Amino acid sequence: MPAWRLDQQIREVRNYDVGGCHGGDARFLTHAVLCLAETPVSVNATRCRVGIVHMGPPLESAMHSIHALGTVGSAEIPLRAGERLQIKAFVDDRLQERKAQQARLSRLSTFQPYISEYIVHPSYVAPCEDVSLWRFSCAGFVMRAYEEANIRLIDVDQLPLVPLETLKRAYPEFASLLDRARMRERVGLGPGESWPVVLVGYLFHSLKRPADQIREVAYVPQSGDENFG
Amino acid sequence: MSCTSSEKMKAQKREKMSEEWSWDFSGVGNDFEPNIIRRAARIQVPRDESAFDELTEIVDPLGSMDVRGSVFPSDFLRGADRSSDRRAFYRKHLQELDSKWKKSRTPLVIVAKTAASPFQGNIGIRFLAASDPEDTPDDDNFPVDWRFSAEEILRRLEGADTPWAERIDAVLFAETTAFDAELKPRLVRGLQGFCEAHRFSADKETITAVGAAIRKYAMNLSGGDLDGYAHLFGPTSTQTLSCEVELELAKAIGWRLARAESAEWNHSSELKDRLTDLASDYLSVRLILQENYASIVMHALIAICLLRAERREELIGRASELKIEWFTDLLGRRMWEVAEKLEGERRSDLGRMIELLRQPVAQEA
Repeated sequence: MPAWRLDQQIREVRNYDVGGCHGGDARFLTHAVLCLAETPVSVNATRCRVGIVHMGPPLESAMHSIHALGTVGSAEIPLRAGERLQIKAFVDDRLQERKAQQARLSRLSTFQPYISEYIVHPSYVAPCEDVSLWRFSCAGFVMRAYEEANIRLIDVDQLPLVPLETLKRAYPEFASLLDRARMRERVGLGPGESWPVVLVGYLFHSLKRPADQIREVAYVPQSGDENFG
Repeated sequence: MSCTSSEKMKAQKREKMSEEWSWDFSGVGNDFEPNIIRRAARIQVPRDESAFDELTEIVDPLGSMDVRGSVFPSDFLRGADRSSDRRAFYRKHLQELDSKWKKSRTPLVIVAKTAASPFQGNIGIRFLAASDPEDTPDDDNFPVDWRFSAEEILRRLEGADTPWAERIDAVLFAETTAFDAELKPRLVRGLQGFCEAHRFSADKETITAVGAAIRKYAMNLSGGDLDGYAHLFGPTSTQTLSCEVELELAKAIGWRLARAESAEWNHSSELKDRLTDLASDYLSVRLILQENYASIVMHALIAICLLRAERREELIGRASELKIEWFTDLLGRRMWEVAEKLEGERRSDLGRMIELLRQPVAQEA
């Protein structure tokens, strides 16, 4: 059961473990990150700042506080070396592509460049002729990275529909923007009032399962799984 | 999902400003803040408070060019409150606006509506115009930064005298701009020219731009452009490509070939040869375990298979014989992801390569 809300117990963060962050509501995780820790790092609720790579936006590596931690394996059997190298190959490729996005953002501090790399639904989109870079949500970036290691954290074919009000809790800084149909369209949300969006909490419910189950079966999220802990 | 801490700070600042912006700016502009007025094509005020909140979130500090509204002549504003205290307050906030829009990243300036406005009962909109107050904005005439305009990007890509900074910007923003079908030949020519001219650069900013150019170029290639792309791989007698550029070249053509509409995208012998040489050179344990080389090899091998290059079986066999399990596992799965989207002979040939890749592992098991 290797997923926890951080409390006073010391936990060890290993490379490419999944970190989660909450906004105003401590139970509602709003952001997912991949932790970067070539050597294990000890964390708890009061000492929780780690190196990470994430789709903010933007896609970047940084230092960040986490409030939840999930790992595919147990402490005794963490992610395998080969799996880490597979994730690393994916992350390194994206970070290289990201240099161009960094250049765009430095030139034009408007909203549009962020949207060119970010998508809410689906969780990730491969490059196409119009936008020749990968686009992710924060959860999508984590999911796709783990799929490179042949670990499907979430069954995206069986997602509960997420109503707009819940989405606005997931994106508190952009809540009022999501009221605009045009903005919703830009981030991949078509017409309607609810969508099969992968929320961060789903990742942690997936990771809370026994280690062998995490690798064998993609998790089917239920409504309410946006809350964790 | 939640933005970085800097974005949170910006959100908090916006909230604070929207609380403070309960004053009417309308009587101030014409004789008071000429710099803003001159730069602004039009200034719009939302019709109600909820729209105002939305607009301030969009415009400050991230900016948006999507906001529209009705306009009224500027002489409507005369007679507005001009107390000296309010002037000082307006000046402070308008100076903030002035510094934010110094680079004129948006022609819009948001002017707040006040509960104390003498015009409140009549309208929710003011217009302080640098242009003709009768001019009603519409979608076609709305000013857009050139970096989001396909035509303007092409103009700068093609221009012999385009300043270097603008040329770099054109390349960078082409990557995230959609080009209509009739513009794509120009796009491909422009990006090919940029890549050809700068692929050996050691300058980091240029390498980044070349990477962006390669990705956009490749994703917009047609079947007849493959030789031009192939040429980019070649070193000269004095220069060779950086690892970063080689990776982008191999990766992007793989992406494009996987999406190719036709099975006939296999006629460029130069492209097959270049990719074969690249993969062959890097297929060693020592290199694959180093930075980025594994990615180069994987992308090159996928492209070689999609092109049905003559030596594909040999190279796939060599990849398998390296016995780097994580590498062959990942390569096999990536090949399978591509194969699933293909049909007919392309799919069956790629499937055969996957079986060949996995064969020694299966035999050992």
